[in-house]
Amino acid sequence: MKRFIARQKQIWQSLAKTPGFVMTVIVTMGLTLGALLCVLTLGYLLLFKPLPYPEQQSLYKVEHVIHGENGERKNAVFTYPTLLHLYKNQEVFNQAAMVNQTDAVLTSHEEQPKVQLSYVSEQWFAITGAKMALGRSFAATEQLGSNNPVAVLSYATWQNTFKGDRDILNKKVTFDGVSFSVVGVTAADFIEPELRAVGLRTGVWLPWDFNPASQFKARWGNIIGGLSFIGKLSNQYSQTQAEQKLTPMINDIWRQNVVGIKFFKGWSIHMELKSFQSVIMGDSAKAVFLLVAAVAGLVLIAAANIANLFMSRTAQQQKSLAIRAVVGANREDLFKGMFAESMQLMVLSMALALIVATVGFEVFHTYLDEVLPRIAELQLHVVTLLCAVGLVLALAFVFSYLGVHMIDYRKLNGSLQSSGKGNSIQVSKSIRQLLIAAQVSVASGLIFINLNLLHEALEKIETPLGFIVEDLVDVRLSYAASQWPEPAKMVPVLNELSQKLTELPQVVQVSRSSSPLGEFGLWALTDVASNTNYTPETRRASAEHFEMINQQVVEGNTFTQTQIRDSSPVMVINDTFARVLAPNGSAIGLKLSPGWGGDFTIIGVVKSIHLPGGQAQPMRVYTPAPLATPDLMVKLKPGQSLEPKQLIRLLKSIDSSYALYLMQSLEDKIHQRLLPQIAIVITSGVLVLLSLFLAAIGLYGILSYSTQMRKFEMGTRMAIGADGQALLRLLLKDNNGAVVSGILVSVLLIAGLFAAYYGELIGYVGAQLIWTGLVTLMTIGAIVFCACYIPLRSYINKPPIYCLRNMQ
Amino acid sequence: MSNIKIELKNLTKIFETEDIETHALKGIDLVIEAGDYVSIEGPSGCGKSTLLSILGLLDTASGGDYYLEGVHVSQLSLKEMAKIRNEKIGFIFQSFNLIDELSVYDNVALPFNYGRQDISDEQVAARVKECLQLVGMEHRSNHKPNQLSGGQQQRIAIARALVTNPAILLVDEPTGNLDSKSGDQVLAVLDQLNEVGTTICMVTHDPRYAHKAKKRLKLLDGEIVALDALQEAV
Repeated sequence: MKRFIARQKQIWQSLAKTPGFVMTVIVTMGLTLGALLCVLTLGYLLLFKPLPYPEQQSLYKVEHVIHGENGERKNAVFTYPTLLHLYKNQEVFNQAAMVNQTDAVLTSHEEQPKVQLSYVSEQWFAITGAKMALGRSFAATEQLGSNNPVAVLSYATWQNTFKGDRDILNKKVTFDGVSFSVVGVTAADFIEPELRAVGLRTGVWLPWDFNPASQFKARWGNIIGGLSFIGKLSNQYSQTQAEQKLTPMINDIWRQNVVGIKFFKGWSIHMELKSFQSVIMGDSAKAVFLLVAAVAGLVLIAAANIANLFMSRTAQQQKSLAIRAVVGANREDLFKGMFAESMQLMVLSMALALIVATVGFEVFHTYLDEVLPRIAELQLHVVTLLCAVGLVLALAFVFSYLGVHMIDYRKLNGSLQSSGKGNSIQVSKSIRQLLIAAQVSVASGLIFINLNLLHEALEKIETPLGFIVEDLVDVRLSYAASQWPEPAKMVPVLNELSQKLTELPQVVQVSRSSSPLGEFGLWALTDVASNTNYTPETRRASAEHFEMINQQVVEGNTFTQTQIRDSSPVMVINDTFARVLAPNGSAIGLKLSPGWGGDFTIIGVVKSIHLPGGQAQPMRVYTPAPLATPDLMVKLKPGQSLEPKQLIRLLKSIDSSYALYLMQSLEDKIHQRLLPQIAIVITSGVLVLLSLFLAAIGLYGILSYSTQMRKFEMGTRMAIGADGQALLRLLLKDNNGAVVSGILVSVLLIAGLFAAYYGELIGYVGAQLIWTGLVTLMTIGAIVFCACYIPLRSYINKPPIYCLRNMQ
Repeated sequence: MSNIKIELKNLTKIFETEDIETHALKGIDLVIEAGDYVSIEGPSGCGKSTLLSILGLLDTASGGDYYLEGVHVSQLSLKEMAKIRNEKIGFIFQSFNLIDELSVYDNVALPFNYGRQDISDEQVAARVKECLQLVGMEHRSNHKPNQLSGGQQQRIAIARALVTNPAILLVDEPTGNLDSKSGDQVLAVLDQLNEVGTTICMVTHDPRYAHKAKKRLKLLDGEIVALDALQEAV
């Protein structure tokens, strides 16, 4: 043991003489391995780690898939009556729960925060195995029809909204005018299954009986976005058997109830079971694979760079190695010595890597919580540590193997007597060329891919919106009851609010319609003339809406105040829909039927607007926004702002039943919608720079080493008349093969990636590939040129004797 | 036309490190004429290799003047020096300095890669063949240097030095890495070249080979202490 410690001490003393080498190895490997550990842990979490729920393999979400007349999939959203029918009549699940996720203002709280609510039937907590920090979850006392107004808070809501109040139990929380008594708080480590959207977490659970969708209990034709059904599948049924049993049960009753609605003629419902794992994962697997591939590429470049450094160090240590050989060290002993040195460096690198990974987890928690699933569970794990140990051993072995491989043991003794030609320790030309090709292939692949991602994200960010967002604020109100009051009671309140808002010194104009950046709804419409069905996106708009956001009117008119007041059956459509409805003429005057009530007449066509992150210009229709709409858009004077407190005060002064549900500037909304693109720009930009940096360092390292090995040859060529340009040409020509091979390998890898993910990647095929390809080639070319020229410069700018002196 | 190939006037070379200034050459005056066979002798560290490097434009002098065929070469740029090395100087090194990856033919033809673009491939081939014949190595033109003995490699190096028909052949310890038989063979080639008019300047430790020179230059501590001309002595 003493000898071992002494030996480690010797190694460290030897390393301490080369702090630059030590720091470069530790920092380069520490940073890249830290990133790799981070994404490997993420990969394990998402792809292999079981979900933290009892009997998680039996947990399913049931999807209510609606198919159209020709069997095409329309959507997968429940109607209230079909969900209830399923809950009451199913026999394939041992435990089942209905869920309706929505949000509401916590009006009983002074700050009136908006809270994410889940209305659930009582077995939801048993299915998810939720543990409680305080009190209880729902039980038989909350079963369907009990109408027991109780609430369970999430740990985060308890901590953040109620400051961890230990006396929270039995206190009241009020949503939509109903007060609920708090009966429990979930445990801090309970992680809710994110089945509806990544990052969408419940703040308060309320009993199913109180859910606002119950007003649609008899509407078989209305689909409601937040409804879902989960259950623990009985072991008597397979997934397919369960689907076969549930489908006719739901389809038959739904068809019976929509038989009178012409629009649903020929439509059907199929029940599909999706495991929690598949729902939660979504299509994240590909993102994880790409992330792992990108980081592994960086690690590969970094490892190649460090391998070069280790080989250079071996060359520098020739004398010391020769002395060891003279006193009896065999090749295995030399390997052991190098391995011990590599191990020390790799252990230190890994210590840094674990710190980087821990910081990475925090970064993931902060920035990717709403992008990738299960991020809340991400932490240092035994798998992370096993990966770390494996990587330490593997890299230490590779680096020391490469070092010992380049030693010509038979010539080593002779090097003690030689004048230092260094020919007993050299990396063979083929290995040098292989390293260059590897560097070029990984770097060019990463640069090309990330340039394309960067281009796409920038294009999305820079796509013109077709409307203005400056100085516009979106306002939405909520009401302290499960249902809004009658329009006749709402309109005077909203009129007064609009009036008072307009009187504020910073306000220019108030419109009674929702923000252009909000999500559009979908509406099934039939062209009366051609009897053709369409499903355009829909939104309500006020008379001022188009003018306020500067959306261009292409043809006809927008709504008048009279049409708004009377809720006239008129429509404004976008030019995309107009081209579909009337390819060769005008769509003005055409009539569209929603299948109930009267037909809507098209009175105007507006230019399509682009929603950041949305698809390009879908068909859209706008109908008059009722005056009782609780949405407002406020235009402020340039540079002015409107505070939520100001608005809350105004609302309370008019009618305290109203609360401020949302208030956000459109510029903030744009930023929020563009977050994924901004994240891509930052990530791909950083990856491009990192790839460039590592490739530059790596290529410089190997080419510098290569040039150093050829110093004598360079001197000889200069002695017989070669000038600097001739030598640079020679170096470039000698490395051409490796560079071209690297680029070809990269092209093949990208082609393979394209073939494997054709569907996802076909959207990237375009003219930009030419310039991104050219930029990649030019960048790699520039790096290779510099990596050849810079080490050569020190030789060609001096008389040849400087190259020859050590050899003579 | 002047018969002088090389003329040095008060040539000095100083090596400087952080603390120490070493005067490797101190005011060397020397004339080498066409057809001369000059040996430079002296103990280790006396400056003979430094002098040869400066003569071959592999290094630059710290002071003084150097005229090669009447051209003042001391102030030339590195690029201009490279051109002169290529066209007017043939260098033979102690350790041969052949490029392992290239064949014997390509090693000998190498100087043409860096100058005389007007020469056709056929002319290059003829000249390489001629030089290989001269050193008795034409039958090895497709071999790689590491397939040859030390003496054979040095003869290839001589062929390469001759291939551009230089004004002067600078030879640095040509037998240092050879056994005596190979050394004799190499020296025989040099004798033969001098007999047909090639100007040779050779650094050597070995008095046996120094005796073959027509002028013997002796250096000590960077200064010429003796210049014996064989014909004068005769």
